[in-house]
Amino acid sequence: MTVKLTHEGVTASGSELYCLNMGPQHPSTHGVLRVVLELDGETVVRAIPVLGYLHRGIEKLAESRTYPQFIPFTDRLDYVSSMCNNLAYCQTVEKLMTVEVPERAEYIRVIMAELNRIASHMLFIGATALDLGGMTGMMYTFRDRERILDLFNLASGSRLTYSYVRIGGVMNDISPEFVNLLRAFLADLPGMLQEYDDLINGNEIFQARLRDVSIVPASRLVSLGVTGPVLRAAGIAYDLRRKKPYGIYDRFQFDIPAGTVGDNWERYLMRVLEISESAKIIAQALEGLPEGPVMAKIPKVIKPPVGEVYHANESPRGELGFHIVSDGSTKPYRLHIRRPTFYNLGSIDALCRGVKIADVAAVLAVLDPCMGEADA
Amino acid sequence: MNLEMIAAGSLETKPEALLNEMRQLRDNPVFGFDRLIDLTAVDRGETFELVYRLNSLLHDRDLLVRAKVSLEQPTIASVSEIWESALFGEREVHDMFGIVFEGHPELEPLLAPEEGFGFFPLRKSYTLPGRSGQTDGGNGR
Repeated sequence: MTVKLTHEGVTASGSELYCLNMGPQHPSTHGVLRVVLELDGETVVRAIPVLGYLHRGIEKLAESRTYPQFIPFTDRLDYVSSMCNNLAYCQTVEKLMTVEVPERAEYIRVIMAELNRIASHMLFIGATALDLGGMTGMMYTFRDRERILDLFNLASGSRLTYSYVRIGGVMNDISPEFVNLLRAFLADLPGMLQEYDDLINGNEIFQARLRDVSIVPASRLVSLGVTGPVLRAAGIAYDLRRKKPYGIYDRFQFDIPAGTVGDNWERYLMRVLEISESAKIIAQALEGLPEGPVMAKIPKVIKPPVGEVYHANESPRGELGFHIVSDGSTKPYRLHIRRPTFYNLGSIDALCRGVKIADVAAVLAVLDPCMGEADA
Repeated sequence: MNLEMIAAGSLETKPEALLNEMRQLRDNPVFGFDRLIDLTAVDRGETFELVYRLNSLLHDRDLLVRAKVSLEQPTIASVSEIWESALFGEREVHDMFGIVFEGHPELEPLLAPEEGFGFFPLRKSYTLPGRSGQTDGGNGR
């Protein structure tokens, strides 16, 4: 976009404003996000997000693909939490077709989605530390995240693009080996989190860089359409797993962490706390995992009835929703994706105003954007 | 406004009444829709249908608001002064459908390049070029 400066000329303090371009090739923009910063000395006066560098037209492509053919495209939305995307899409189609999913598949889906949330948050913790100059932290979180990716590899055959959740159930059953490795991972998780605490969260410099930076009132974030951990850090404990339980989420006991100040530190802390809550859910799901089929009896050719449906999941980044309009054929007439990162990025200007230029990287890091999703 | 439709979770409105009704939906505490969760459009063939997905944190309630605009003159009032999330949502719909949101402070391309795509990809009148001249993205129906 053509960027028009709004505060041209000289400020009250007598200094001249200037413009600094950040991205789209920048290590702390987590992909191809570009932000144009308008600065008064070192203070950000305005931040203009520029999107679209990764736009592939997934919504249009959906119109020429059958319903099952679209599943791999969802992998490529938020590519660090593909399981959650698969799940949200498949549940939407199932809602349209009114399919009953077998119990065992429901439990496996919960295990996979929560594991992916942990993997995504681990990446977040490492990347945030990296963006603030702590190279070491990343090594530990990536080492541990790899164990989850190994589990996914075992179940689906892929490390990142799973297409594991299918319409009517899951691709195939999990093996006893998977369950054993998962139990071992859950047993090791508290030790991992302790390590992050010692290395990253407990670091005084790390905390000082995040505390009391970029405080935005909750009402403003609500108006901006921000969802997920960033909204919860501002004190609004809104989580779709609790508010509109999808699948079998109403059967599990877990807490929704919420902040009080809503600064960068609490936005960061939300993810750390959510890892333990996800682990609680996985442990309960493993406990209750029933025997049985993992795939419902669904027709070979999927032709949902004429209609319209919207279904949203709580992805690691916020409300991920699919809006499908069906004309009764094998392909969606219109498929729209409500991407949490897209709306979260709309808040960049509000989050960055008044912060120092060195903290812009921190603001972007704790927003945890995934450009594959924002640009679709 | 039709209270029964609001209770049922779906409301259809005329484009010229949209701004007024939306303002009431947010400001009247009986409704209290403080969030615009999502905004999109559907090409219905004869019209463009705009879909606004509202949510009330106060009452924990959802509402779907629809408004139809013509294909020839796709213009509707912007709701960005009511909910800031529409600033992004409307720019996306503008890129994809060419719908003009009057009153939007900066209706510049967002996902499209600076000069725009040169076409409106999510309109049904636009077909994917596809391989070897096929018009359905090489994936024939």
